Amino acid sequence: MLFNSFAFLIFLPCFLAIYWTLRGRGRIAFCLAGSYLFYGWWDARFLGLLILSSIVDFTVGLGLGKTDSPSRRRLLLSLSIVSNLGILATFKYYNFFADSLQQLVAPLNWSLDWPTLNLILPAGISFYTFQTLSYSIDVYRKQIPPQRDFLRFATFVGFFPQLVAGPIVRAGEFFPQLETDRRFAWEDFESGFGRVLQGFFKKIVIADSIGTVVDPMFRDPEGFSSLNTAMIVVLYAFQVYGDFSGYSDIAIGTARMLGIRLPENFRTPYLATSPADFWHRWHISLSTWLRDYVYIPLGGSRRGVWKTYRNLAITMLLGGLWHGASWNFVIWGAIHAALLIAHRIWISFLGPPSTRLADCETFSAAWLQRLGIDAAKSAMMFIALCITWVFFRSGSFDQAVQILAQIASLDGLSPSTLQNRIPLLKACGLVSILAGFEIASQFIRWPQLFLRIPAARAVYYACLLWSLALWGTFDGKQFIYFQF
Amino acid sequence: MLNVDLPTKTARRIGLAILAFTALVIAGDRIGARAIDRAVMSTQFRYSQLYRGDLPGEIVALGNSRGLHMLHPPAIAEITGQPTVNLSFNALPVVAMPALWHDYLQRHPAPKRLLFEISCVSREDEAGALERFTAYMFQSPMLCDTMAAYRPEEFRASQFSHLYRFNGEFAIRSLFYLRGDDQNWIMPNDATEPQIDRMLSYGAEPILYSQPHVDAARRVLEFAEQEEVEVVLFVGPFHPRYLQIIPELPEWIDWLQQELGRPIADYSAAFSENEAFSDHMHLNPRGARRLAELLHRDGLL
Repeated sequence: MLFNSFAFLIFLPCFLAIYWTLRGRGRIAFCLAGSYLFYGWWDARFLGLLILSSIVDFTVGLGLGKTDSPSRRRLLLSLSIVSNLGILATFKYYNFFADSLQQLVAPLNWSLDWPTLNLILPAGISFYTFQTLSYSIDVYRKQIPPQRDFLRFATFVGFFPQLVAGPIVRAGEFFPQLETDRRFAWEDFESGFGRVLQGFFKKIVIADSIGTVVDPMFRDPEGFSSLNTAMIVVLYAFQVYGDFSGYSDIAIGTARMLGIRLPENFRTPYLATSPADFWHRWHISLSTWLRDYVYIPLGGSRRGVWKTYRNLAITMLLGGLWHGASWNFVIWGAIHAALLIAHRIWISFLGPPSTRLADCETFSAAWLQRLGIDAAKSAMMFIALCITWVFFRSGSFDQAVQILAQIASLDGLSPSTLQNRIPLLKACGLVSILAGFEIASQFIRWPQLFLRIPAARAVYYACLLWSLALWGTFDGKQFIYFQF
Repeated sequence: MLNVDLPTKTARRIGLAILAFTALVIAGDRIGARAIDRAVMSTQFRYSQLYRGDLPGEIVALGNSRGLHMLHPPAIAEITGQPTVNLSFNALPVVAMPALWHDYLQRHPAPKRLLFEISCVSREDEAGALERFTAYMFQSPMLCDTMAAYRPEEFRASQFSHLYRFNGEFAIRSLFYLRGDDQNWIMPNDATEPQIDRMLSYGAEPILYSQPHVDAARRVLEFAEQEEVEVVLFVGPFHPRYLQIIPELPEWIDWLQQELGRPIADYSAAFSENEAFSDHMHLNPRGARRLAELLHRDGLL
């Protein structure tokens, strides 16, 4: 079931009404059943995989709880890793690796006649695999006790708000919230509702409206001028942000209406002033997962400069590959790795950024100077990100290069070369609203001030609803991250 | 029973808050829609002018994008000496035309002649093209009926939310024409061989033998007859290379002539140079002027 579907608009109020009438295990059982209905609505066949993944990691967790033998614990953890990554590799990466290996050995006149598997990628497999893996690793590390109630564990894996596209939730954060038999709280419900509306705004108003401009260019970039291509690449950056952060907002808001708090996944990422800062703001649940379960176990930044660079590269390449079985995603990860490494080298030459304000006569002059420097850094970072997004979105490496060459050619810089001007105008207008809103929120803590007033909250929510009616694109587009 | 344990007073306040919020949303929707409607209706966009009754002409042109970029009002007016207006639009579905033409006749003195570029009857209605007219649903009961018949979901949504009526191209486009008239709009460029190559690589659009489309065209003719408006049916020029990949066009024109019981002037092969076209099926200002001269020479204007 898609969040932006009519089915979900019926499902959610019904689910909420029943959920709050139940208590104890009945509520948890209902939550699990509703989650499976939500997931099975899309394709019931893949429920088996979800349940299998839950059983394996639940059993591994129990086993880890019963033994202190290092070898047995390693064996159990290996079982979890191999089974989870095995399922993921089969469904998501088999064809990619088989084809890539075939291409690699082709110059040697070798032929690997591996069959091609026509498998549909189960929705959310990357998300729930990482979630269950993190549980097993945390139990192995004795950071959390094993969950002994399968109902609760399966609810953790299949909890519908975040099941298909995150945020990736840690067991240590989730289980304590399931333990309490919490009562309905109007504040949670209301703020969750507002968050859901905000998510719909980002998805249906921003991302999908931009999609109508972006899709034709990435389908056939040849007919677009340099200016037009550049504008569309910038707009795509906002499409992917609106789409994914919109999904996260709906997920976080829905969970909040159920009395459960999910971790934040985005924090104004395009205002990042460095590559490292960007990864503290973008898809935070994935970047912290990669940090905790890949980068730090590899040694992090504690074993010398070169190993730090190596670890960064491995982490980002895996992060890229996590997004999809395509070399374009690997290249996307590689560029991010290069940016992170280049930033580290830059810092090592110039030293860490000073926390002291510049040597100006007045505080306001210093503040303005810092603001200017940060704005310039953010602008540079944004341009770099746009380049990475071209690889992320393009159908092939060649197409990505063609698009970048088209922009660099400066062929056709007149506004008269712009195609689909009305949707383009709409997209630019909407992006300006979003960007203005996010930039302003950096300086004015308006949610805390303005939204403290109940009437102001009501007007804000009403504005979101009106903008959905006035500017929403209702063509049932899937969330971009569903395919990951 | 909700597992809420809220004091009655608090529960009542929550209930009142929900009611007040719902009222705010509905009132804002209606007031906002009326305000946007007034803004849209004050512009110089062709359909705003049409529904205001500010688009009088002796010659009225009708069609889809081919009609729009082929029947250039300034050129026709200069050649014939008669005020000319164009009701055509990009991807204008033929099923919308009876309502537009009817509403035009309701709000203006009957023109002498309707110039109907009839190849639109062969085109599949493009997705979303009819929905744009929700922006004028406050103005036209016939447009409402057309929408309810052909786009029931959009019709229901625009009954539920009046703001939704302005969710589309026309609301933004009309504001673009807040001051300037859009009647001189035409694609200015010359067609180039690489451009034609690219267009042809997509293949030809299928030619439809659609009864609902024919019925819509018949209604346009009926409204014209009622007001004693002379109707000129014609098929405008296609780029010769595109014409080659739609060899069934003459057969389709014969079929439509029989269906409508009227002659159709065939100008599909009138021009062969790139300089007359802006792409494979639309004319540029030079081509539009030459077409107007041809129609005038042949007594159709």
